[in-house]
Amino acid sequence: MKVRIAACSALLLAAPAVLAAPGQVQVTFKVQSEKFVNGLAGGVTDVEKQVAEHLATQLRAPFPLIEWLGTAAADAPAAVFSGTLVQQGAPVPMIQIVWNASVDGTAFTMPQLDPITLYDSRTLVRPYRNAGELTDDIDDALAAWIRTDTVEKSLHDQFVTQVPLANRVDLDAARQAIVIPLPWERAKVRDDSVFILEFVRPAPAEKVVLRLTPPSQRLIDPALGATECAAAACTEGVASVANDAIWSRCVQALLDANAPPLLVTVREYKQDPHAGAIRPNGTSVSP
Amino acid sequence: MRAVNDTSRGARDAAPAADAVSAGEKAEAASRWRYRLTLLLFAIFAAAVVLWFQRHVEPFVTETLIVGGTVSAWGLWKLIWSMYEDAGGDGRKDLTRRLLGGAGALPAVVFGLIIVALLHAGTSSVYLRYGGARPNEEEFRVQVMDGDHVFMGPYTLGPGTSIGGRPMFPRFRALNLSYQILDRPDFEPLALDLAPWSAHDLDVPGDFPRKRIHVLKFVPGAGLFSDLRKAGEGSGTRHYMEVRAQGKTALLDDLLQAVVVTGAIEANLPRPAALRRIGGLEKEITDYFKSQGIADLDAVVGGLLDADGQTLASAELKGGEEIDVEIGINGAPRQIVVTCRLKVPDSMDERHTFFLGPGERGCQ
Repeated sequence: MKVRIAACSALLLAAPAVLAAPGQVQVTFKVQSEKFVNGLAGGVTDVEKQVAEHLATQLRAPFPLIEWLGTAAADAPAAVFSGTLVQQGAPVPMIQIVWNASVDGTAFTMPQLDPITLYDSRTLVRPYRNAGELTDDIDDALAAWIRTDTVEKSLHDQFVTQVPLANRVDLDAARQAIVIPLPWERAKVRDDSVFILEFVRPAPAEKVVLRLTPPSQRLIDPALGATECAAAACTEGVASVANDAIWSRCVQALLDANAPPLLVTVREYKQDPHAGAIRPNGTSVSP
Repeated sequence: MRAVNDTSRGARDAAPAADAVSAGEKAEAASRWRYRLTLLLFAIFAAAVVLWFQRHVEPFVTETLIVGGTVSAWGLWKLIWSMYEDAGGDGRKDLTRRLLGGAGALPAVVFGLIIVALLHAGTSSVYLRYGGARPNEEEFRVQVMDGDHVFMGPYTLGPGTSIGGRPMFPRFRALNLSYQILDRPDFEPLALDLAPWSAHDLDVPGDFPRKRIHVLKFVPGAGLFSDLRKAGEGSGTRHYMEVRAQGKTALLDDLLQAVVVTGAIEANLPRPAALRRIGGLEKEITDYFKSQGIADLDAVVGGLLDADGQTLASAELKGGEEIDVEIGINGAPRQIVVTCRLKVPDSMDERHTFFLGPGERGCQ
C-alpha cells in the first residue's frame, strides 16, 4: 500500500514552542531528612543519584510511553517527577518519601499519590550513616510501591496524563490519520488508549480539543513505527463538533501555514506489553 | 643331810635360774612396752601421713589416681610378702609384732615420724574451688599474686572445672598472697599469708568479699538509639556523653549504639566483652523496647547486646547520689541533644539500668 503524506497530506504543524523535549520526564530524588543529611555527610549525592536512576527504571515499566530520565538530560525535559526523603515528628521521626511534580516549570500537587513510609516511628534500625543500606531500603520500598494497582492508577491519573508527549503531529489527510511521533514499540500502547491533542485556534480564538483513538502502529513511511490515531471527537470551546466535520474544522487549522502550537497528552493509557513488533511484510503484530 | 645338801644345792642352782627368768620377764616386758610405744608412734605416723596427704595432696590427685594407686600398693605388698614367705618367713599371724616389735622397728618409725614432720613443716598448698556463686555466675578466672608476680594461675573455674591449685614442697618462706578474681571488679581481692606449712582452700567466689559498687548501665532509649553511630560506621555526626558526679566530669567522646557502663574507676568496671553476660540485662532491654511498641525489637535488642559495651570511668558512685548526664553532637560548638539528672538508687542491688534519651525519665 502506498501512502502519500506530503502530497495528500501535510506534515506537521506547529512550531515546537512549548517544550524542548516532549515525552521526557526528569526523575529526581532529594534527601532532605536532617538525620540522613547529617549522617551520610558526603554520601547524600550518591544516594540521590542512584535512587533517581532506580526510580526512573521502576517508572519505565508501567509507563513506557514516557521517557523517564534518571540522569540529567541535555534538553529541558517536559516534566519533572521528584521524590524527597523527609522526616516528620520527634523523638523518633517518621521517614517518608513524598512526591512532587512540575510540567514546564509549573509545580502541581498529586494528592492521591500517598507518601511512602520508609521507617515509621516504631522502627529504630535506620541506616542514618549507611548510604548503601539506605539505597537498598529505598529501592525495595519503591519496587513494592509501584507494583500496587492504586499507586499505578494514581500515577496515571495525576501525573502521566499531565505530561506533554508531543508538540507536533504528522497528518495523513488521505487516511485522515493523526500520527503522534511516539515510537509504538517503546510506548507499548494498547488500542483502547486515548490521546488528547489540544491547541488554540487563532481565529476565531478558541481552544480546540481532539480526542484521538484508537491508536495503532504506523506501518508505512513516513513516520514508520510511530503511533497513529484517528480523531474520534472534537470540541471547540465547549461545543462538540460533528463527527463528519472533525477533520475539516478541527484538524484543518493544523495544516495552515501559521499553525498554532499544540500539545499531545494521553488521557487514558493502557499498556500492551506485546505491542510493537513489526513483521517484515509490514503488518503489525499484536496477540 | 644329803637331802639337805641336795636341797641347798638345788636352792643354789635355782637362784640363777630365777634371776634368768626374772631378766627374761623384764626383757619381755620391756619388749612389750617397746612394741606398744612403736605401735603408738606408728599410729601417730599413719595419722600424720593421712593428714598430710588429705591436706596437701588429695585435692591435687584425682579419685582415679587414688584408687589406682591403692590397688597398685596392695599388689606390691602382696608380692613382697610372697617373697618374704618363700625366703622362710613365718605365717602372717605374727606379722604386725614382727614388723613393729623388732629391734629396728622403733627407730624406723621414729625416722618415719621425723620425715612426716618435715613434710608437714615444708609442705604448703593452695587450692581454689568453684563454690558460693550466685545464679548466672557461671565462670570465674582467678589468679594468685605474690607482690607484682603471678604466683599461680590464672585458673578458670566453673561447673565444669571446679578446682585449681597445687601443693608445694619444700617451701620455708612465708608468702603474702593476693587472690584476685579477674574480670569481675565487683569482688575484692583476698590477701592471705601463706606459711610454709599452711594450706589455703578457698571457695570461688564464696570466700571473696563482694564490693558495693553502683555500676550504672546506660542504654540508649528509643529516641536516641537510631541517632547513634554503630561501631564501624565511618561517616556522619558523632555523639558524646558527659557524666558529672562529685564535682568530676567524665567524657565519652564517641558514644556508640551500645550499652555504656559507668559508676566506678576503670579497673572496677566490667570489661566490654563481659557486659552481655550481666544477668538480667537482656530482659531489661527487651521489656523496655517492648513497652515502647518497637517493631524491630529483635534487631534493636540483638544489636545492643551483640555490640561491645563502652566503659566510662568515673567517680565511685554511692547510693542516693545525684548525677548529671549530657548527650550531644560533637562539633564546634557542641549541640546538646538531651540532659538527664539521675539518682543512683540506694538499694542492695548494685547494678542499675537507665534508658537515656529525649522523653526518658529524668531527661529533657
